[in-house]
Amino acid sequence: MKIKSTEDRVVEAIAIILVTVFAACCLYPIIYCVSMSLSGNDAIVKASVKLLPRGFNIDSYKRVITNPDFYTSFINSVIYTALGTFLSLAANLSLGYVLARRSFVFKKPLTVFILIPMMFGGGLIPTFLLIKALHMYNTVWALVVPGAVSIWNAILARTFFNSTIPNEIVESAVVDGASDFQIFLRIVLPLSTTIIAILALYAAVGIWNDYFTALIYLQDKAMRPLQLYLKEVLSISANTSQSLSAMMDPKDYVNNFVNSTRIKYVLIVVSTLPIMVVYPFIQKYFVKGVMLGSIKG
Amino acid sequence: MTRALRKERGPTDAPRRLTPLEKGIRRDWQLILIGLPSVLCIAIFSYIPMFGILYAFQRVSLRGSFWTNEWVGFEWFRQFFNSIYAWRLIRNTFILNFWSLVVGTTVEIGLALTFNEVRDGKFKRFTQSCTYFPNFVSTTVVVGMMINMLNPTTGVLSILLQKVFGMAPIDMFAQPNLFRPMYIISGLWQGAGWGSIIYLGAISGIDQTLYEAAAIDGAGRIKRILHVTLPGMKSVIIICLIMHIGGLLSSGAGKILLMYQASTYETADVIATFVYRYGLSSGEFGYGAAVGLFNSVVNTVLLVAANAVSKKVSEVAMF
Repeated sequence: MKIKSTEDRVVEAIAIILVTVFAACCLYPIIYCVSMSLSGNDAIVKASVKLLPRGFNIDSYKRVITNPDFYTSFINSVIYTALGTFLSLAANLSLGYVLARRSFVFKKPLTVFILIPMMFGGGLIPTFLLIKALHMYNTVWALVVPGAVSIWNAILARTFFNSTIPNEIVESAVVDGASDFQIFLRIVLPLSTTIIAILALYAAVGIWNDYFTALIYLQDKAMRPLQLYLKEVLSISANTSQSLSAMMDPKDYVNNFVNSTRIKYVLIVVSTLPIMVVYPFIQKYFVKGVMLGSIKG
Repeated sequence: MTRALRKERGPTDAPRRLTPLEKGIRRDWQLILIGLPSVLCIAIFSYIPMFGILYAFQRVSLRGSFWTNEWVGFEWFRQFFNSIYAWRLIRNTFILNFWSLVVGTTVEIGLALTFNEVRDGKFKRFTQSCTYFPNFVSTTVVVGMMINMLNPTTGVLSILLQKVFGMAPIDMFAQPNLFRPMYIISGLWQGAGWGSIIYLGAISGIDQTLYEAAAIDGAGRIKRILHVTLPGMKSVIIICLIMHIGGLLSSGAGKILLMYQASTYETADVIATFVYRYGLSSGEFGYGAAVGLFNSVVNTVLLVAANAVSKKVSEVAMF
């Protein structure tokens, strides 16, 4: 028997209002950027766009997409993300599997070994000098190898293996004479599509969105990922940037203001688009990942 | 492991029994192989830099190497703590992280409690998705949005602030006193929804019979939130706080590098950005390493201390 008291109704109404306001605040900047990127010249000059596009103009989209600086960096990002995600999956799933095996001979030393870096790190400069000494500076490897093992994600994988794959399956496989490689590749991995999806998404989003690593380790302009390109074109001093003026028509003084403004919004939209498109379908995996992380294993 | 190897290299004329360790290695050699690449990766990229803190006591030259650099003792530390920067950087890092933590955690918990009062269904799922999304927008884009939307003449938010609060049309990114609020509020936009998931998880773990019992005792909805839900989240809140306290002096440089400029260093320059600017951009590697080492040590001390305090006070601890 459930009867709603006035208090119940009031609390629920307030909750709904608060949630709506917060969600609207989260959504608004994104909608606004999309609208600005599509609006006509007039609306941009008068700053009259508030929510939905006014007028229509996709000239800036054309300029961005055909700009070599932009698409090189976009392709670079795709390559780095694919490579980095693959390496990170291989590293974290295998480490997670070893951590999950309760009888592993080096279980204790290994646990201590991975916990220490979680508490103390050498910091930026020693890491940078190491990368230089290893001749990884200004190579793709500096972006994808040092960050491949994420101890946090390996522990996540371990928690998943421990909580979803019954120990009996592994034990009976051992009795049947399966090797550890076989157990890992033929039994554990096929049962773990969820954690594979979670870890792949974490890694992919992390690499796609990261500019700092590239800022430190990459020198060649031709190698820079999308986010580093965005850093230049969207930064506080963007209007003096070469990459931005490369997209302007030097003779068209009148429209340069409009174009430079709209181009920035186009860049914001285009670079976030891959995530926007897949987000509704993959969101549940991210949430599952957080929930899994909160299980103390 | 070394003991085992030494034994194997010993005289092998007489058959002898294997120690448990040797047996274990023979049994688990495949597991060892599977884990080895990752372990090597951690050894190289996490452990070697730990020894790299010794650079903090050297005059580092890129032409030389660790073995040929000149040792300078505590020279860089002395320079740093005698400079005008030391106090400013520590203060800025601490204030920025402290307020981000306090405001962030409060909003996250509040949001989780609010979501918990909304009935499950499409509306709830949709609004939750909206609040999680900003977490996946890159920092570059977030700061880019802020720069454009807060532009004093064309930015929609700036115009709103001017109309509603009568703010002068100023370049907000050049104002030292506005840096912290801008950093913290944009941080809320990015992370509060996502951060609330962990607290929602904690709420869903609370025993439902407690609510029924409270209802029978006459506790209304608000009383149940205060006396059942909040206490039920206690251990998760504490663990989250411990993890964040360890990071009170470790804000990443990423977002601040994009947001600050020389005119706002006074409030915006933190240890991480300083290490980047002096250590990397200007090539003062030894000096940068010294400041970074100081930072790492403080972080570890904070983490261990927070953990110890919470163990004493509430019997909840991370390790």
